Amino acid sequence: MWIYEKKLQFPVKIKNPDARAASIIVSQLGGPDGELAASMRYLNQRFSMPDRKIVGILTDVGTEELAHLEMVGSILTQLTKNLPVSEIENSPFAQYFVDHTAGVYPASAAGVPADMKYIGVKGDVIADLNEDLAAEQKARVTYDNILRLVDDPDIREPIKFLRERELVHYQRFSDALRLAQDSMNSKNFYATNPSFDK
Amino acid sequence: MMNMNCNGNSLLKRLQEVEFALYELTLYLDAYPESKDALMHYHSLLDARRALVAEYQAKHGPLTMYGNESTTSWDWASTPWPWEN
Ligand SMILES: [Fe+2]
Repeated sequence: MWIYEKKLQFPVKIKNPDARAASIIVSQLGGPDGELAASMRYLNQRFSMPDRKIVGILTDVGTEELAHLEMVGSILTQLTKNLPVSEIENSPFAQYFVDHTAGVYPASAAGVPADMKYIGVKGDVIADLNEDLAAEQKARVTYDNILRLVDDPDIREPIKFLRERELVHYQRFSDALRLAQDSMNSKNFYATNPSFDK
Repeated sequence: MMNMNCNGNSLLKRLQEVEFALYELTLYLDAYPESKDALMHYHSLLDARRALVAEYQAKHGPLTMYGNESTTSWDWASTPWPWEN
């Protein structure tokens, strides 16, 4: 089970609200490669993993993704706090605002609500870990794109932290895949998972 | 060390009971923070929980990532996960 810790993993202190930045960054809350999808992907894939060490990696990365979800929510709420309507009406945030005001709702930057179609749970250690490696790279690219579009250092610092974590998660999932393949028969050249056919 | 013997199961059950009561008290205190009775009850169970956690971790390994008591082995991932049967 989980318990909540009343702190962020990394500080978020944004002084200037910015509607345009919020309309972009929301994708890392509820977009296709966002933190909600990431946490649900890993925490659900855990159950069918054949190796306790891999379950550990998925549990700890999945739990960290929940902390990242909270960081992105904190960024969004600080970016939209006390925004005057004049700054909303001509910004791309207006479309989000009409449905959600300044609430934190998991959707993509294009306004598509979060969907579990973004994640895969194949129940196969090789297939699922390969999905996770790709997912971490896609999340890293999204953070790169956010950094290309946002100048304010108050916003960039936590975004840079989140981007770095995707790199670390990618490394740990590479370790998990290596663990899985090392425990397979060395003749299993194509790294299929034969556990169902034994 | 890590197998769930009879003793281990009853220790886990006691921990689950104490923590469930603490959860209920937390929800109640969130809504009624002025309740002195609930706060007293919370504190008495908090002491019980602390002792149970220490005993459980010494016998069965870590309950959280901060609970790896051993300085010579990493038991957090290698001990059984809760859905294993
Ligand atoms: Fe990640």
